[in-house]
Amino acid sequence: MQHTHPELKADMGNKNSVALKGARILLGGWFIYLGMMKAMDPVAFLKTLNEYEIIQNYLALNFIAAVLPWFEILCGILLIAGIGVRGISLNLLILLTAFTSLVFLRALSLQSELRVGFCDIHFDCGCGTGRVWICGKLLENSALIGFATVLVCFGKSKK
Amino acid sequence: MTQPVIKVFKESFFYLMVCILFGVTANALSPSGIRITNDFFHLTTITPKEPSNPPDEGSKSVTASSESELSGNSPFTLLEFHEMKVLFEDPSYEEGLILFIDARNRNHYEEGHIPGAYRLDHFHPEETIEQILLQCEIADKIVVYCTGGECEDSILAAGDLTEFGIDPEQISIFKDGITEWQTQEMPIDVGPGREN
Repeated sequence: MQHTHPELKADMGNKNSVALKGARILLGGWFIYLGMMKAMDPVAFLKTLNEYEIIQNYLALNFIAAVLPWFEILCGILLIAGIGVRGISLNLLILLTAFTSLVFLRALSLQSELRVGFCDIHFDCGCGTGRVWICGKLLENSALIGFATVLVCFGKSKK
Repeated sequence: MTQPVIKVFKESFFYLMVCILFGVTANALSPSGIRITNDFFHLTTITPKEPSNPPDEGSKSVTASSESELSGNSPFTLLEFHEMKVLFEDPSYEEGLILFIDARNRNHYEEGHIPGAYRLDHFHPEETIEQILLQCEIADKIVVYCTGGECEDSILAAGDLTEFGIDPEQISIFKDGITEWQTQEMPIDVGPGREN
C-alpha cells in the first residue's frame, strides 16, 4: 500500500494538470472566438448592447462595445499561453457572471413580452454567436463559469 | 490564506489594465473600430413641421428618434414599396434629383444595393458624407433605406442628414428596405457602386 501512494499521487497530479490545461485551452479558445466575432463587427455588438438598455451613458456604452472584444481576445491568448492564469480567470469569471445575469434578465423580459416558454426564447444576446436558444446559452455559460472558477482556485501560470 | 487571495486580486487588476489598454489601442487601429466619443443613439433634435400637403396613402410620419421605432411625429415620411418603385423609375432619379441612400455598412452595401444608391453608414459617416452632401445640394427628394423590419439605421442616417443641414421635409424612409426590394425582384447592384 505504501508503495503505491507516491505513484497514485503523481498520477492524480498529472491528471489534474491535464484537466487544468484542458480547462485553460477551452476557456481561452472560446473567448478568442467570441472576441473575434465581436471585433469583426463592433457596431452590431454596440447595437445589441444598446438594446439591453442598462447603460445610459453613451461613453460607457461605446467604451464597452469597443474594448470588450479585444479584451476577450487578449485574455484568451494569455490564458492559452499560461500567463497570469488565476488573475485572468478571475477577470473572466466576473465578466461571465455579469453577462450571464444580464442575458438571463433580458430573456425574462422577452419571455413576458412574447409570452412563450423560457427555453423557447431565441435571440441575439450580443455574445458573438448570433441568435441563440436561451437555455443552451445559460448552460454553456454555466460550464464556462465552472471552468473559470476551477482555474481561479487551482490554476498555475507558467514560470 | 489571505496572501494568495490578495495575490490573485492584484494579478487580476494588473491584467485587467493590460487588456483594457490593448482593447483601446486595437479599437483605435481597427478600420471597423468605434468612435468612443460619438453619441450614436441620441435623440435627434428635429422640430416637426406641419405638412404642406396631406401625406399620400400608405405614407405616415415617423419619429426621428434614433432609439426608436418607426412611430411618433416627425418630418420624415414613410414610403411603401410601390412608391419607391415609382421614384426609381422616374427620370429624375437618373438626373440626380431623387437620391437614394443605403444606410447599411460597407459589407452589406457591397453585397447588394439599389442601383445608383449612395451609402451613408451612421456609425462611420466620415467615409461618404462629403460626397453625399454634394449630391443632396442637387436633390429635391432623398430616400433613405436599410434592411427593413426592425432595422433603424435608415432613421439614424436620416437624422445625420438633418444635422448636416438637409431639410427634413426632403427626406423619406423606405420602411421595408432592401429586403422588400429583393423580394419584389427589383434590380440590385453588387460591389462598391457609387463609391468607385
